[in-house]
Amino acid sequence: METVKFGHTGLKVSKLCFGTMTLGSSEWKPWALDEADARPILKRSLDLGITFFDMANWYSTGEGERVVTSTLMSMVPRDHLVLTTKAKYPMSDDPNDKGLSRKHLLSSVDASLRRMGTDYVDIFMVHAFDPDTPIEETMETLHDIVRSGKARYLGASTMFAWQFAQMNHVARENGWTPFVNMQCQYNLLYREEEREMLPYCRDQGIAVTCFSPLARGWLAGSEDCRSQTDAWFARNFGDALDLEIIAQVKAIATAHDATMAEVAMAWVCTKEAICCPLVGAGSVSQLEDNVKALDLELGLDEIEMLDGLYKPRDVINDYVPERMPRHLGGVLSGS
Amino acid sequence: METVSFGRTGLKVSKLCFGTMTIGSSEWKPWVLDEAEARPLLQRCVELGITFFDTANWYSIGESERVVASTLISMVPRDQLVLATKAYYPMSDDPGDCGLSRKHLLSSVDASLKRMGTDYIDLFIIHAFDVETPIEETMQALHDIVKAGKVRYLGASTMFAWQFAQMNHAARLNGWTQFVNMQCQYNLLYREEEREMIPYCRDQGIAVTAFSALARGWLSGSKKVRSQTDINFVNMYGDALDIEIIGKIEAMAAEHSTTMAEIALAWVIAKEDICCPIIGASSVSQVENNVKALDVELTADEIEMLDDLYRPRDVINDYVSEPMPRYLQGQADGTG
Repeated sequence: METVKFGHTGLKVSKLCFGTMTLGSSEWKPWALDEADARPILKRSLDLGITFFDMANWYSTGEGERVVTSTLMSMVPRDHLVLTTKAKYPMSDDPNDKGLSRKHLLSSVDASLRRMGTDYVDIFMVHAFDPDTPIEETMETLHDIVRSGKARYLGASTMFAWQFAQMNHVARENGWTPFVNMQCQYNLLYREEEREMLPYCRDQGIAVTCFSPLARGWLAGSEDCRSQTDAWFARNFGDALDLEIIAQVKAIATAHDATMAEVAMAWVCTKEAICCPLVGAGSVSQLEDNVKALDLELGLDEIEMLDGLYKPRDVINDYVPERMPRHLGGVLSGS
Repeated sequence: METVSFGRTGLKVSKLCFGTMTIGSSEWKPWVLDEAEARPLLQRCVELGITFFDTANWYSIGESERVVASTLISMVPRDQLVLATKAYYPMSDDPGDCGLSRKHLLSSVDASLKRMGTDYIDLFIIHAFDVETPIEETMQALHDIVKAGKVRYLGASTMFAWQFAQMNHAARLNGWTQFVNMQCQYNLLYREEEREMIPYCRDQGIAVTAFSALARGWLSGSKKVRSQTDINFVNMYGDALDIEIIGKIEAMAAEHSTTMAEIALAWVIAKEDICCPIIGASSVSQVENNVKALDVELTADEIEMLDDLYRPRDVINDYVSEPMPRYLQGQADGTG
């Protein structure tokens, strides 16, 4: 697999990053795989050349970090891996066991390292913006974590562009470590980050990694376990335009004798603004499908056709609890 | 008229700002008023308590600054006015006579002061983002202009939130003067700034002023000469949802026995995030109509009803040459 430069840093990563939210403990979510089921998928990832693995403390509430890292390190020397983990979401009912406070971040990184069985994480990410903590407190703490050797680089996820820019500004104004990575949602059904976040990251040389390249399975044509059990995920997509885009993906897949997932992933891979798509997988064959997308060459007319279908929609993140629907529903009929 | 604090500054301004793109020279655009016609309008603004006037070097290529400032200063002591002007758009074919370069900004502010017949501008606004000039060059030049006493405060207009944030960051990093004002388009038909720009400004205490409060006349129900001659403005609005929203405003105006313009403006005034709406007018009666909006009290239910009609649309600015049409049910091919 191709190795790419991680934005404006010296770090090199595999073109695809394996997103491990599906690995850990089936007690956490019904679609999460336990250790024994996870092992063959991780093994196959390595065989296929993936060296970049994305985790979070919150995935299976710590079990994700333990299962993924211990399995990978039993197969590959630690330094050959690029491992990320995240902090922000609640790890318990304790009010301090979440967020981006100094108290939580310092405890959280230590707990993650202990579960992972390593003394450093390559990219330590804030999973989302914390409106309850001053940005200065967060950025100084993250800098201390980097200086103490526990994290090599910093990343962030799920926030507005102005919040991300403010965090970096605070870091730079104080001589602290800025973020080198933004992980955001990006796929054929959700391209709102093209407005502000991607241009900002391009300007600043920040590596963009993107999750949900298959829009929670919608673009793979699957009605899988997760979209049926996970109401939050299901309700983000599925309006009339989404369905039309999905149908076009299906038609192109047929023309290429490929799966829909390959087409949707290949489209993301054509976007220069995206450094690495995250691939998720609930099975070895799903993983192989995703990796095959790297070899699928879409024609310029096909890319243009897919590009032309999108229409603006509301933001999907933690801070917009009630999204405006894109289509008009009954409004036009004069309700 | 109510006086409001201008964001996190000591400056006080009238709640309504008078936007003067319509004043200057009819040779520039057919809908622009010449000096003699402009005078009664400006006179009425002053009588109604407006002290905050927004112009730009580009409006009537300098004539707006001259007509507006000289007329106002003949009626009111200079220090009682808050005058804003802008720089960025081309003033001639000279490639150096536009943009946010040090060369252009320093010449531009002097030319504006000369035309305005004053030795300071209260608010000097960059009209848009200049992708060809390093941000540091622009921010240092603006700082020098402030320190030279030619300008009291800095503002900006028409750019992405990340660009605006970067400019302020460059100023802060270097100890230069930051922007205290963002002037952006905001009305019932265009609310995209609620996503990034307005929350950023709220966080930073930056005063937001809103232009096109009536969406180029669409929200006042008028089909005037400007909307017929100015293709750029017409193309922005008028899809099926816009027409639906306009219909609701018409109905609400009838219930309140007011004009549509008053309802549309009252809705903007009700938004705490907007420090001052900018009103434009081509006649004394339009000014009076706009000012009457301050007395229209929309109920919480009415505001919520209007709020709920909006759906996401593409950005309108200089950097998005072909905005995506909004998705309308039954028009999934996007040609609607």
